[in-house]
Amino acid sequence: MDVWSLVRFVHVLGAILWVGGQVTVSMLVLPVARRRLGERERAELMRTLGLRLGVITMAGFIPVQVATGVLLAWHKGVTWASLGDPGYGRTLAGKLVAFVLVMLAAGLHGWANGVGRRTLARSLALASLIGSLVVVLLATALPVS
Amino acid sequence: MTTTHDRTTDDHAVSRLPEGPPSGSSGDRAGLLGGLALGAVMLVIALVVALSGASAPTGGSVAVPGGGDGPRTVQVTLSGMRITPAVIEVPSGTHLVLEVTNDDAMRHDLVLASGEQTPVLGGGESSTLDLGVVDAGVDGWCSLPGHKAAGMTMTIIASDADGEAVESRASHTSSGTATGVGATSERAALDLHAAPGPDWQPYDPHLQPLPGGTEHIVRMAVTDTVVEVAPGVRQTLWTFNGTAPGPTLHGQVGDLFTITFVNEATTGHGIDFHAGALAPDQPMRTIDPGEELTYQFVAQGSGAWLYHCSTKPMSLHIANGMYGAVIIEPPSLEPVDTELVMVQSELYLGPDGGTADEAAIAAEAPSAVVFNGYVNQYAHAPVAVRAGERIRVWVVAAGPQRGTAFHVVGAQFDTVFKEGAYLLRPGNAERGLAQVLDLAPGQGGFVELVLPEPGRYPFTDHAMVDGERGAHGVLEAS
Repeated sequence: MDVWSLVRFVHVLGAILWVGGQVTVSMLVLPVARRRLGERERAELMRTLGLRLGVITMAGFIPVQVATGVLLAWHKGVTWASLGDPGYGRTLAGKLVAFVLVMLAAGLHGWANGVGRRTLARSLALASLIGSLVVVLLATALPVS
Repeated sequence: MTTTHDRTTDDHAVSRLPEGPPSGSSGDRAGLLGGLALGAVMLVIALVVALSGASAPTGGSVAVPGGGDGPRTVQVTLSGMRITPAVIEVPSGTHLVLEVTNDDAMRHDLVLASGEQTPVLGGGESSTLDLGVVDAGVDGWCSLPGHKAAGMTMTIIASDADGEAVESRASHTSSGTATGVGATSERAALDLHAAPGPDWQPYDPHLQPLPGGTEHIVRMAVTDTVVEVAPGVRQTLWTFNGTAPGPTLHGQVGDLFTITFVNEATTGHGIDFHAGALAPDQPMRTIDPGEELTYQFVAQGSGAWLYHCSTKPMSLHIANGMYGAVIIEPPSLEPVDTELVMVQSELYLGPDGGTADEAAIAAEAPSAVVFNGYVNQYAHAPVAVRAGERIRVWVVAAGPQRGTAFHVVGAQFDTVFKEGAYLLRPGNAERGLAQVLDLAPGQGGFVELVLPEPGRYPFTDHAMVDGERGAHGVLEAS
């Protein structure tokens, strides 16, 4: 148990909250809201929730994940060049690509909601969730050495 | 997030809502399918990035892609008796450059069979090796003593267009040659029945009397010394003050020992006194040639204590002569007529004039087992004693790998002291006597005996194979 355990803890905790937040909103809140609320109220609720999640993501999640991720990579001796090495490097590179795609999807989801393209917004929300799971999958696939 | 912000958001949301398409099951399904498709695309992209290139390698292996102009640079790290990556695979014809960094506290280098080598690198230092165009396999290793045997090796594999490895150059030049590490065939020949030359002087087995006073100030210098270890066999040993074993220190419980440890040899060394208790970090650290440190300890307990080099691999450093004894008397120890010290150790002969054979050490296959550093030393130079006098023999098992079963033929021990306690004292209730003092590597003790009549009393390690390959001497009682 050292300071790196703490950094790793914060990084994993961030991922848990992000994935958990998405799952909660789309799989718990949305179905209930559909059953219990009128369309206008539901839309207000979902939009508010989405915006809050977006703000938390921009102000908290992304800076924390990037900072702790960079720290962990530095601690492990990862270099830009080593991201090309098969094994650890490429798995991490894949994870980073997935992370960027997820953030893009999440951002576009907010934009699509904003301009009222709800089908596209729903697609992007689901894609963001699946992409997040891909990030977690690749994180667990990182070779331990 | 303030209330104001939320309200704005809500207003915004409400104002925008009517512009959206009506929600319906077809929109939901389209959103679902679109999301699944997008998610699948993400999965595929991420997996392609993660899994493309060479097949997943085993740990410590790096494949350098071919093509392109200019040299390919690979970072190589020396740390923890490992070279990382241990395998570098390059297409034949690649111009390869290694950036070698020593990430360790101890010194390392990297030597390649093709001739390139870094200087000896201290902790954190780096050096660049330009191998030129690599068209055949090359082996590499750290040339510091013992490091190669401990696992500091690497291989550069040059593969041709079909991905087949091109024959290694190392197969033509014995990788051992550059380090002076002898292959088995080069080990010095040992004749257990030969006699030492006329100039040979045995190691004095007598314990020197207490120097007086409670403070002992000792200078211990490590030097590379060519030493005769058996008749006609010379080895370059690493010695404390020129001999193996090193000097025997002699004191009493509570004495303060201040040792100035000086490295006058050619590689890093350290020292570890079992007779003192302290945090090893500083006093037992490895120092480079030309450096010195002060090692201070209070002998808190009696015993026959080992001291030895503390630099890895200790098996090699001890096998190559870096051991000795510290004798701390139990309180009110009665004086005896003759007091001897026998430090038993193994020899793993390297080439004549060379250092100990690392492969033999790893195989735990000693060439000889010796008292005080020389094969059958006190058979060649019997120790003169008198019948009827009390003899005390201090015994320390230096190893590096074997203990001892110290026995005197024709005699019985009436006193046995082992690892801080008497196992046997004269006149015990059982009227018992002892035949062997058994010591694991690193242990020590003493026995006392009285030889009943004049004669030649052999003493030996009663592990017979070890006794017959050099752990053998004679007490000649007049």
